Amino acid sequence: MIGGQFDFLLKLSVFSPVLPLVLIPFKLIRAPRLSLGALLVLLMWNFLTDLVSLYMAHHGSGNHQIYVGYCVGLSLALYWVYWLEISERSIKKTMTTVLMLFLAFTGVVAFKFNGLGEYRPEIYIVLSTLTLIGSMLYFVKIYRDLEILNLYRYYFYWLNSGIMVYFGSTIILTFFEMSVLSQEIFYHKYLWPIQLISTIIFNLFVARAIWTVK
Amino acid sequence: MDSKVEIILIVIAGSLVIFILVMMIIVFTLTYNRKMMEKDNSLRMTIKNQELELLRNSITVQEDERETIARNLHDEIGPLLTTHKLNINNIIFDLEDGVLTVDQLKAEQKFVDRIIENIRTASYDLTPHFLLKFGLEKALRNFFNKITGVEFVFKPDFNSEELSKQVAINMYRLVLELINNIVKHEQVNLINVNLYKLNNDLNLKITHHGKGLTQEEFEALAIQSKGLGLNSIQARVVVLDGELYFQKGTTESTITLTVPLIKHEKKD
Repeated sequence: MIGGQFDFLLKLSVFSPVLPLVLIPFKLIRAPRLSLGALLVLLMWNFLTDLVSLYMAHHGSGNHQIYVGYCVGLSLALYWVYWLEISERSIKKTMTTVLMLFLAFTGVVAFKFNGLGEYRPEIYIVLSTLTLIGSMLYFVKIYRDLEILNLYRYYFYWLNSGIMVYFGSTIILTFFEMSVLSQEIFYHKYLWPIQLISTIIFNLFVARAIWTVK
Repeated sequence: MDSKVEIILIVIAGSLVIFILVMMIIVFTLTYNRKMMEKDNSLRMTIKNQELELLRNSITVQEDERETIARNLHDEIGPLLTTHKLNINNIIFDLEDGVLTVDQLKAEQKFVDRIIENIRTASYDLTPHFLLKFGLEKALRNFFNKITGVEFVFKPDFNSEELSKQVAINMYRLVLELINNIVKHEQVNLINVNLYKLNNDLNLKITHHGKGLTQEEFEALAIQSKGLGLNSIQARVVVLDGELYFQKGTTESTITLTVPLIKHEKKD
């Protein structure tokens, strides 16, 4: 992929949350609900951290300084979104335990081994894996319950699909991230489009999810 | 491994993962929808079967009621009228012979009273005139007063005049059936009956200290058609668009019935 195309895709990806972010206020006015508020927080967090990363990249510094904060914020926002959707107490307990373990793991990795400004992909790999497993288990749960009459009209179906595709695809990239980082910047532009495309797909799914809210 | 090859492999792996995940979602969606359709069809079949069963039950209930009335007429009123006819013949003979006494006529008058009482009872089985004349609250009080050995605490909070004839009759029959079942099958000496209107619903709550039934037990008994007039109860609940719920506690058993009055507005 040549530079111009990559930059276009990068900007398209960074600004792709704008579509769901524009939709949310309209839906919030018509159907005010906490789950939309949680989704707004998740999107805003993604959008703002991406903007900051873009700004830092433009000014020649890496975005590692905000990496740990981004992962922690993302995990909390995802936890809130699923917390509001799930009604079973036992699942909520498990979710809370998993979040606590993840935060403890992040704390250990960030403070003991690397420091806050250091980039370590382990945190994101663990977060992505947990989220991917969570989104898959959510599908298993709704398949087992068989209570949603029309999946296409159910907002969390779209949202969960988006989350599954996004975190599933980013796991593989993050796995290889260390080796990629050791390559020249030229090669990065062959790899990152996958990440950027999955971000765009995620935001399209989220927009579709918000659109379904009545 | 050559770095360029490595990158290409990662790109392929990444694309493949996205593709697999999207495919997984599509397969999940298709499987879910198929399963949902199967569930929907089976639900429709169950509802259809239940409706058929209820229809069958309501016909059975109707036939049972007719049989009871026919039996009453044949076994009780018929012989009484035959006896009355014979007595009249005797009275005529005695009158012709000049041996008729006032006591004979008084005895026959009492006999006619007995026939009238029997006809009244049979008529009451057909339509509860007392209910239609004085309303549900008084009819139920009248019914509770007739039952001996059990104390009733009846707390009504509704206006009988607001109820349509259909609701009043069916509620009356339901309470009769439920109370008869409790009296017959439970060792109780006190029954609480609350009948009140709340948010356009007529609510009935019967509590007693007997063993009672759980909802599952009630449904199982109704399916097995094991007497207890449960079929008749179910049929009436359906007619009223109501919801009947049986609950069994450790010390107390409860039967609740909610009837949406909005669906049965009184026609003046």
